[in-house]
Amino acid sequence: MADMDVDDFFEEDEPIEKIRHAFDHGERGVTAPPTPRGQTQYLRLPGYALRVAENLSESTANKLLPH
Amino acid sequence: MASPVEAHLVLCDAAVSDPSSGKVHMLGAGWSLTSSPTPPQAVVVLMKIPWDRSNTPLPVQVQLYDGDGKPVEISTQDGLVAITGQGTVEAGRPAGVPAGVMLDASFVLNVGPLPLPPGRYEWRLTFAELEQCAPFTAR
Repeated sequence: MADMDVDDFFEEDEPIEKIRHAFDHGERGVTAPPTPRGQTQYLRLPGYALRVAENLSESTANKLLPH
Repeated sequence: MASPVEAHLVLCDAAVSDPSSGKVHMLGAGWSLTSSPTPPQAVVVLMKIPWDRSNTPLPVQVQLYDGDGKPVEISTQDGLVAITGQGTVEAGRPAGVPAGVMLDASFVLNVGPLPLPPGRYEWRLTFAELEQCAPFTAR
């Protein structure tokens, strides 16, 4: 802490000594960047796309369906 | 005691979340009535994370339940599969942002067509200690 200057930035609740010790000794896995603020996932159902397509009706209608 | 998280569930046709800002690009949002089998859909979770819970991994999960409150499971090549998505959200503290503000984050699950019989369903969100649901009807 004594050798910190204005260019150092730490949050108040961070374990500063632990992080600096790990940095000085080259330890890995002590810190990590936060996860992305936005995550996009796609549900995968093995072999299901074709089965659903077979069951979809191919009839047409003159009314807009919901959704 | 940690401040409570906030979240909103939105059903739409498709969505993509921006990894850097947490903003979500949605198509066809706001429906609660759909056809059977269901067309492709997306579940969007818009989250507000309190300042004092930033830099902390928070679990998030969305899962589809039927009208009886049972998890929907689909038979696939790999056996029964629950319709669910889960992850971990950890909001960092951007430099210069005042202490105490709520931080934005988002989670999106895109789902293909499902052979759901007509009936009522709901997407349930579990985010940290928060639970919410977004019901819809397939006809």
